[in-house]
Amino acid sequence: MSENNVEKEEFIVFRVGQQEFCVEITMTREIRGWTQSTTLPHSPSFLMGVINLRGTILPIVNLAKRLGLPYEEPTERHVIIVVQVEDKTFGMLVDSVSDILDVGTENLRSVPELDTKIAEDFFNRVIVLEDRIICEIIPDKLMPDMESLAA
Amino acid sequence: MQLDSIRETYFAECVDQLAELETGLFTISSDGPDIETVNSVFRAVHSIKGGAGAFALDKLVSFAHVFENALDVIRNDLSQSSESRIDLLLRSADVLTDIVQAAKDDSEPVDFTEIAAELEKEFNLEAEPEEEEVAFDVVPISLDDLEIEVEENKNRFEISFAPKQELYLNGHDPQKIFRELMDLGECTITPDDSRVAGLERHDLANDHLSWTITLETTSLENEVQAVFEWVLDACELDIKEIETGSAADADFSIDDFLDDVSDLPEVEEDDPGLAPAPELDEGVSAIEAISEVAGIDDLSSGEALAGKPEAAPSPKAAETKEKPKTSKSIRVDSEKVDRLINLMGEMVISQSMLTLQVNEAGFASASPTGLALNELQTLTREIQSSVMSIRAQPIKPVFMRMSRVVREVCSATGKKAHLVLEGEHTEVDTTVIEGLSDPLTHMIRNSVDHGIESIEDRVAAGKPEAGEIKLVASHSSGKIVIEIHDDGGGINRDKVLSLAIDKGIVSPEAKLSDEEIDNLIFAPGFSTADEITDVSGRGVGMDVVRQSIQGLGGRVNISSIPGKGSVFTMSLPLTLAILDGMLVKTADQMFVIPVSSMIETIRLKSADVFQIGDQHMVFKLRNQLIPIVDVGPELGFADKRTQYDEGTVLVVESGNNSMSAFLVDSIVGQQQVVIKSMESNYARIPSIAAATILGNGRIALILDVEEIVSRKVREVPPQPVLDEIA
Repeated sequence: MSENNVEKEEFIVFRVGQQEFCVEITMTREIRGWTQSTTLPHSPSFLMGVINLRGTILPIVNLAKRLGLPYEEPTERHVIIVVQVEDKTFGMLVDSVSDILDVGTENLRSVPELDTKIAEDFFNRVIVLEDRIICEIIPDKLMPDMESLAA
Repeated sequence: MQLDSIRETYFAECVDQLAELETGLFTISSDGPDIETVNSVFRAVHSIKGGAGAFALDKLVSFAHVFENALDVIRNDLSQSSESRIDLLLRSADVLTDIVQAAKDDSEPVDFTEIAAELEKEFNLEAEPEEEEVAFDVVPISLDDLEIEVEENKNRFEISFAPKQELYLNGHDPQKIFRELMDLGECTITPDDSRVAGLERHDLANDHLSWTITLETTSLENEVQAVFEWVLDACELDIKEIETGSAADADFSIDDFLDDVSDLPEVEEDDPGLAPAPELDEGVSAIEAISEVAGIDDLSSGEALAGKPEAAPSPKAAETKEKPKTSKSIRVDSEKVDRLINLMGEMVISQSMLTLQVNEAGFASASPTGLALNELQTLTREIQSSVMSIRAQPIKPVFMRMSRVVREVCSATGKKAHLVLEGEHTEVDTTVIEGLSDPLTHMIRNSVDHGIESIEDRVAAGKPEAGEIKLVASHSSGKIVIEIHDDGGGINRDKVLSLAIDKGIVSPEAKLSDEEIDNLIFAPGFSTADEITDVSGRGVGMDVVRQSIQGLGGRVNISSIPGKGSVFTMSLPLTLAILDGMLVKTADQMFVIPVSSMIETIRLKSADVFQIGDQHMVFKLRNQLIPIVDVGPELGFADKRTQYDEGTVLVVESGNNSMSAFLVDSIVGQQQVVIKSMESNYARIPSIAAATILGNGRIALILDVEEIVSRKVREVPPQPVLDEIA
């Protein structure tokens, strides 16, 4: 039992549509409400635009769109999870934050082989609990490839 | 870790010292030598050497040593300075810079044996300093007299020397001063411990030994005084010359003295017993290193440390010794300043948001709330300007670097030229200074390489052998203007034009004004040199320069008078943190267009819009046809317009002097905007230069006019050449 305590990892769990996803809590910087974003020209559709995060320009990824899920126009009830990957910070637009979980290794599974590119690209592991499963997102992969963008 | 940071400080100080050195030498070469400048130059090299010693940078020490000796020749006698010598010193300064850089990077040190040998030869450094003076004296007879005098005349001085606490705190050691005195002649040193209480009541701050020294020497009074030069402020010193006589009481040697000191009751037993404040003793060497590093240049012990005595500083040097400057500046990590500037930008935004809210809430401007807000606005503005001024720096360091460029190009091309600076104290934001260095280097190279003629040609044209490159900086209507004048041959317009036609930059039929031809050298792919030289780069010509200047939000132009020379004029914004922007609205979004690129704004009338070909629209402005760039559709935010009767036209000019008509729905207003990088969290976006945050907290994108225009041009098939140059 004590072994498991050492191995535990902490995740922040959020909801997009009917599904739950999570990211490692160490990657998140803050959670904030939705504010109107400024659209960027020549950018992929899943990139909502940029918002002002205390003076820095924060790009926002619409997670539903990025994962190919149905989405609705964001409202004030939507939430932006600010994550940091290396030296870049960006926001993920999600429906709501539902949980913060301590998960032991016994509940972490690798992603099952699915017939979808998205699972392979964006999911790292799956948290399997008694009554729910939660896919762990790899934030690094969410942002558009910078090089192809510059072209 | 600690040592690393000290080392870092040392190299940071080196940069300052090298700048000081170069500035000093530059002043000497243009205004002739004066003792203060020579001293400051000497001190700079000395400090570099001292610090290098502390870090065991042997190569640096040995070159700095030769350098210092060479400077000492001039310091001892200003008439020893000559043009060729100063030139050599300037080149040595370049080498020293390289060696310091190599030491800093731990890279392979530069080979300096050649220039060191040259220095030694030029300044006859092998010889003893005294003899060297002899060698350069024009009246040999008087020399003999002098020598005899030197042999026979022994002066006797009585020196009372009472160090204050600062002396120890600054890392000086009386012992080293005594050694220097002993090098001058016979010395008798008597300590006076009357001010030192016993161990039990010892007060470190106030109780110090003082000394009475009798010195019998051939040196003159000011030479003796020079020994104390570095500690003058930190001691009470009285030097009296006494009649030459037998040194009756000279039975006290320094060894006795040292024994004596160690016997003093307040000295701890295990202490070797030198310093009157024993606790300081261990720290002394460390303090020495640190104070050298920290650029405290009043340290005489460096010479004593070097082992053998240097030439005693000359009378002249002693006369005009400067008090060590107490610098009021502090060294701050530029990131901290950047952060401050960011926060300042935030505050400006929050303040305008607050204003908006207060106004909407219906407070009168005379109400207490309104007045308080007013006060806040005033404060914000003041804070903004003082924060910006922190980052403003004189442009001088960049200009000084150019003198090296001129020297290098001259030696590569066999031409002669010197650099004259004007307005080098003009202050600009550091971001601009950083960005300016490369294009300026390129332009200076170009001016010497292509502008200044060869020596023969200059003589034939009745000009002085050496060309003159003049760098002028000034402020003008919120911009900084930098001009590069050369007195060379000017632009060969026939050659430029024929070359431009050969390269297809202009069509043979085009009629160009002189000014337009001159500006052709900025056209992409243009290079006037018959062969590509090492000096001015390979094919990357002035177009790159123009691009980088435009990247800084500036412009560059040339004007030239054949036979007389050319003038490059650059105008740049004072800062890259704030931009004068025109706020426009189109496709329901706000955009900022830099005012610097705008020429005029006109209300759109469908009568002025014409279609050319299947989809290209042009705008007719006073008989000139200007291609239309409709901003909304161009960015993909709106569909192409069907009606051209509502909206505003902004006529903008892009770098290559071509104009475009930017179409937007409406103009919101002109305001200063704080520039925010898109790249820091995302990536560069085509057509967008940066972003800014508006008063309502929303982000507005700043358009990259240059890129939008060139993108548009690339899409368009080759156009017939208009009156404008492409």
